[in-house]
Amino acid sequence: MISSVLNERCRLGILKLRGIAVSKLEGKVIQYILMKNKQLHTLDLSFCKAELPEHFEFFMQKFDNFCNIRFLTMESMQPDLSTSIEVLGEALALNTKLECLILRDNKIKWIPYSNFWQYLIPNKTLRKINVAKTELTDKVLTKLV
Amino acid sequence: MQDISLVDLDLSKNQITDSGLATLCESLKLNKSIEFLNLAGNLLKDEGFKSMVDYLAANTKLKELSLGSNKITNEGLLNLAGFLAQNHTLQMLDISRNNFTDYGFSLFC
Repeated sequence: MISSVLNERCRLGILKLRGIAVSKLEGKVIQYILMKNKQLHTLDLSFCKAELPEHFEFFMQKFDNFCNIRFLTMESMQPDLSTSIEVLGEALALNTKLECLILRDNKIKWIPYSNFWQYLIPNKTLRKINVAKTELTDKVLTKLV
Repeated sequence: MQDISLVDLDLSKNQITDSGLATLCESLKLNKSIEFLNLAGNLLKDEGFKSMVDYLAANTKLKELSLGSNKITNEGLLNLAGFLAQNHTLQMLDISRNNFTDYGFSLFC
């Protein structure tokens, strides 16, 4: 499946990988797709479960300036995104394509969550952000605004 | 937030209080792109609504505002009614499941 997605004749624009178990292998595969596939514009990784939080980091770091994804959904990820959200923020600081980010229903501790918004400041392309049900407090909100 | 062209911001079902709303509204006054704002299911009361009404009075972009499932009473509703009479851009307002009464609603209308 992966070699098909990475084939240069592949015209797949939307990829939904909802609810998959993310081990080191899947983490690396998603990372590779983000690096090599330039056709994908929509990626949905909601309800994915990682063995270790670090497995999310393999692909979180690739949502950077080389990534062509415009619509990214990561609802209800497990384990919580407290460990990997800052990696995502650092990547999105460089990103120039992403327009829509949906992170609803994730548990994120306030310090990494605040840092995430701080990292996001240089981003100029995001037009839609959905962070419903993410335990966002006033303290975190001050970093968002 | 002032510098990015954010159009749609969903902050629903979080733990934002009146203090957070005041901070958000100050920032939103400088943001000229927001068209959809969802603050449903937070901890907002009438006091916070004063900041919201100030922001809305200076805004000509917002099309949809969701404030459902908060703690708005008749007083907050009256503040909002005053603004609505003058605003010509808001197309959808959701104030479902708040704490106002039939009397407050009749004044609002």
